[in-house]
Amino acid sequence: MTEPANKKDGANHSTRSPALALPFLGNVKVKPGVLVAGFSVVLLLAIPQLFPPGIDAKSKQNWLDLFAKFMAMGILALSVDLVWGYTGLLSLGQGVFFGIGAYMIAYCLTLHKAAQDARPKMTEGEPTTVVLHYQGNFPSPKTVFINDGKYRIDSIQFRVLKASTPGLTAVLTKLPAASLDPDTAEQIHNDTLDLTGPVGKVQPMVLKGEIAEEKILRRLEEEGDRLYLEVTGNGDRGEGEFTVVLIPEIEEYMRPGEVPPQFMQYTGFAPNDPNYVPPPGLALIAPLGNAGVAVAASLILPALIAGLFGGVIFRLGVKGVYFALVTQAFLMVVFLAVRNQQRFTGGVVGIKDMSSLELFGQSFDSAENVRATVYLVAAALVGSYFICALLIRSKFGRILSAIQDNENRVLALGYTTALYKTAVFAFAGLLAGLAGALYVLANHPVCDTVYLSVPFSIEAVIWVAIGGRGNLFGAVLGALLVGFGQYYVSSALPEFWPIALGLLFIATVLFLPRGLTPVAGPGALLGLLLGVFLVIYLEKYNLFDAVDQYLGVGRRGRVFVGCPIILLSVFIPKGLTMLFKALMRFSPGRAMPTGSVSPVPGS
Amino acid sequence: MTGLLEALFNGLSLSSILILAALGLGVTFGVMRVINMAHGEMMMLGAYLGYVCTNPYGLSVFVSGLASLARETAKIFGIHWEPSWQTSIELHWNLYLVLPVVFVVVGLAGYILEKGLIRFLYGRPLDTLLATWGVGLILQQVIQLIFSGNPKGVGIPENLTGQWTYADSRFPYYRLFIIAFTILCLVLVYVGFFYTSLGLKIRAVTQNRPMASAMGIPTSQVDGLTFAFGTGLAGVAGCILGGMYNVGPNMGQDFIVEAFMVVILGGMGQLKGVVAGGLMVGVSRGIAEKFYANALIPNLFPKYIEEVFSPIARITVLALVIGFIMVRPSGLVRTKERVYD
Amino acid sequence: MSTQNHHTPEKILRVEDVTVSFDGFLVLKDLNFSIERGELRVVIGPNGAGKTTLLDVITGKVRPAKGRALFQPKSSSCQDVTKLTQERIALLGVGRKFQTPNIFKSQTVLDNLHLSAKASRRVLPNLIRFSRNGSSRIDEVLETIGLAPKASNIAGLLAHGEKQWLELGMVMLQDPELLLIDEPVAGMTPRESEKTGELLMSMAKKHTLLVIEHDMTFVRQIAQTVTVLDEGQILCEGTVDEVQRDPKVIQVYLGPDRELLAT
Repeated sequence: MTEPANKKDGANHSTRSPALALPFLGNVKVKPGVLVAGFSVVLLLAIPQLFPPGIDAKSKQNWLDLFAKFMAMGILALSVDLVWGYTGLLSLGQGVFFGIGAYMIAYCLTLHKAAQDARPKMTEGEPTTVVLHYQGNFPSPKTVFINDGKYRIDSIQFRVLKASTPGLTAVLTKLPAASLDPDTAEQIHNDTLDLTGPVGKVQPMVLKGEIAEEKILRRLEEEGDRLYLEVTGNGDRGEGEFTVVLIPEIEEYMRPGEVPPQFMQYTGFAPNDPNYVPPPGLALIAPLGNAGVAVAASLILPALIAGLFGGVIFRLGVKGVYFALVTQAFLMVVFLAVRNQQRFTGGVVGIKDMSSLELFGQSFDSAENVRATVYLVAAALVGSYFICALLIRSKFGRILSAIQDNENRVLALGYTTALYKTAVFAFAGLLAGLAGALYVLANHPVCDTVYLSVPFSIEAVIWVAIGGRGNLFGAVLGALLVGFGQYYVSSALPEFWPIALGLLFIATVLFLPRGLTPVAGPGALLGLLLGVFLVIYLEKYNLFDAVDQYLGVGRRGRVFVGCPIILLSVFIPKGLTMLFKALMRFSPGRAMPTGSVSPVPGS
Repeated sequence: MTGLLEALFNGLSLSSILILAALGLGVTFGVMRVINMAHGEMMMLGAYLGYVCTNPYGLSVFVSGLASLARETAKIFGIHWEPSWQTSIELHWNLYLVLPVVFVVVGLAGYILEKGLIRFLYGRPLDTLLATWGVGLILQQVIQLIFSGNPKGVGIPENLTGQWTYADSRFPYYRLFIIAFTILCLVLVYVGFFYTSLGLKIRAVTQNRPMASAMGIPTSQVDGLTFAFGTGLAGVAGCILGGMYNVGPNMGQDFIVEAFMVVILGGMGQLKGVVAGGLMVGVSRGIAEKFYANALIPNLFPKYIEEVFSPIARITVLALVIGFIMVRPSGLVRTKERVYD
Repeated sequence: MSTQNHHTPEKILRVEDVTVSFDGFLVLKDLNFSIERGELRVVIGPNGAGKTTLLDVITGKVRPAKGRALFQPKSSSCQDVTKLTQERIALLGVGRKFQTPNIFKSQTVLDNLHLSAKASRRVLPNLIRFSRNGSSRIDEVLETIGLAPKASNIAGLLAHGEKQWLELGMVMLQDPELLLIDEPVAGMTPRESEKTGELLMSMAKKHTLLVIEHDMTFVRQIAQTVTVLDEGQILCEGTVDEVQRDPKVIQVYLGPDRELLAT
């Protein structure tokens, strides 16, 4: 599958870097950038391991949660960048697909929680018949039956097989397992049993339990509940048998989809009740009770909707600014629709009552299981990155890039550009849905309409703008950078974050039109991770408190130290490389390789 | 019958509100092709200015709000500064007086915005979109810090409160005033564009900048003035609407998406387009609201009369607009110009 | 080019009664125009005559208000291109070199050619294609257009003339039956123009060419038949000499005052 490397000097990329022959991709040059990229990927996957030892558990959980959230945002950023940076279509409405993914998982989890919290349903199984025998000279009371499950006594028939000494009577009593004193056993039938006969005749017993207080007598609920035969009188007790028909009572836990979740604010009858009428919408979302279905829905549904929307819009030739505004209007429609439908979507408040996600035996949420969530999100992020990278490097990706460059030319070459745009838009929708689904786990247990708001989608765009348009690493970088930056500034100066964000928008557009990555190099993401962990270590060793005290500004000190660290850390690798190169220049006897112009249309 | 009459009137009233909101946008977006996402915030500024000028306590709230903003800003840097700015001046101006003031002041803000930011971004519409969105964010937050989020209002003259009843339908005077004012604005803009020398210059610059420049028209000044004109209109719209709706830092957000839709729907750069678009959206929403309010679809959609517009009606109309644009994209796809972009 | 039928040479393109209006202004008026298979036709005319618009109609960029344009591919049925999408028309066998070099400035020369080469245009197959290496055909074209040493260069950094050639190379690779070439030598030196002319003439051997040009030296070099377009209508058709001597043409180009005879 690999092609010979240097078939014809002019027709191939000539640099002096070694090349790896990989399947599909042909020759991939091993440049420092690639190595750094690889390293950052490894780092992302190992985040939970990198914390300072002895860090306080709550603090660690908090940081892990942040990482999970921002990495999920990183996937959203990839989605935006794929469509904007590579194909030239600015979508201001990726939040729609993010939100769909989020809500699908949220529905699943809230249905699970509702089922867990609900009382189990009692259903009755097939009747079983038990024969209780008595014979011989037994002490009274005699245990004739020890319960081994949950039953309701349906009927008891009594038959004397051999008459006893005349005058002997007996009663059947029940003693619950919890009670130890046989004298407190209660009779479970109305009349007394005559042990003397008639022999052979089957006598149905009239059981108690018709009125409410007696109902308990007909139920055998605990293991160890006992039935006693208590004989009155002395003498030969004869022989006889009771044929007991027991109806097993099966405690069926409610299944997800059977119980209305909290957001529906259902105040009707309980699901166990015969008068229960399920609220509208429950039937609609019930299939999402299955985790597999929910995951599939969170990926497929946004992709479908994106494909439909894109299919129509691109066929009409809507592009540029108009496309951006139409996506925004579409977002607005969905936002209003969801916000308005309290009974179907949780409305403005959203969905707040969720269980953890159980997948393949592992729980994911943002509390005890946050580590698992971080691994999951990191894996998803890395996986998404690789798929995007493959996509970009394929001919499909080059066609997308060509569409951005000069759509007329692409059409004139015979490509149906609308299909390509629709395809990438649908895939971006899938990615955004994935991001939303993962975010719900990280932002557990809340899912609300913020994801569908106009500002949220625009923020996603700014992450890409800051990190680096047309650069996959840059997209992720932007999401993480802004995420941590926001966390830092908001924790100390919440009122000023929107202003800082606004300034960031303006500054990026004016001074960094292609984002940070072209300036900071491919190591920027690595640098950021280093910076964040540096901050974590500083915090753990209370160095920030020292700064705060020194500056005397309360908690604000950490903003002044933490933020610059995070911001400037993106330049660390570039700085190191430059230093390295400078040192190399002064190293004796080593000719610098002259690299030729090698095109890297986005990494 | 009553229902229909009221629905139509509401529709007309909504249309006029939309047209008013979108008119300034029609200038900046339709004529200059500049995407100003801060347009809603310009409206908000106009509303707050109206509040300060018409509400006796307005000015003192503003001044003490400034003080607290200054104090908070200083706190970031660890400086303890407690300015005790106050005023007991009570402004109680008449709305009619306030409107021109608002036009000039907000227009000035727009001029500064154009000179300070927008002019560096010509030819980059998507970047302008993002940058102006940032401006909008900052404005929202600054206003929030000064005035706090409590809803305010613009005081309207006595003779405009109340309503006219006719055949069981109610026609509030203020809504009638808005309709009339919108018509007035339309006339003024039309006259301004087509009958004044400044309007001529604006048209020249937007149609063929190099030629206009070669003919001695100071293009950058014209740009600034045009943009100022558009934002001034936005401010006035906001001020007027502040007499009817709550004035809050986020009020711009409620109008911006629809305003853009109206401008696009009507076809770019056409004044009558804005009118047509606004009419179409407004009237259909008025009818939609009535339709839903009459519970013709009983119990399926609970009725929320939100602060600004009924959401279901809004959704329906937005969806219709998108659908309409899809069917007739003459506003979105360039008419047959020989431009290879 | 087939010698099987000795009928009148087949018309590969027939434009019938085409009228194009831009907001009321008639760019093409009831235009009737045709080319035979294998021809090298040059279209000249003053600015605004509608030459590029004619190409737009043929490639589907512009829909005429009335009329039709029939394209006859070699091995399928005749189609009215005014009813087809741009990409469909391109696949049918119509290639175009635009007035200003329309290449992919952000990609390399090689990638530009790669995208033009005959390969599936469909989405799914292209998702799994990664190879960027050239086929022999691409190498041939690279040699022909003289850009072999610059194959890895970013196309946007090429000189203007080289960009034109790249575009020609792309069209050659596309291998369409009908090539529409819009001002191929604009901004070129005389030597470059000559080379371009040779290129076009070698292409003309196996394809039908429709060339729009202003440069009369170049037109002389390559033209067989010349069509003169003015104000959306055909003014005159013939050899270069015939056309240059036609009084209507002279008037249109030079105005009623013959003293302005410059070129």
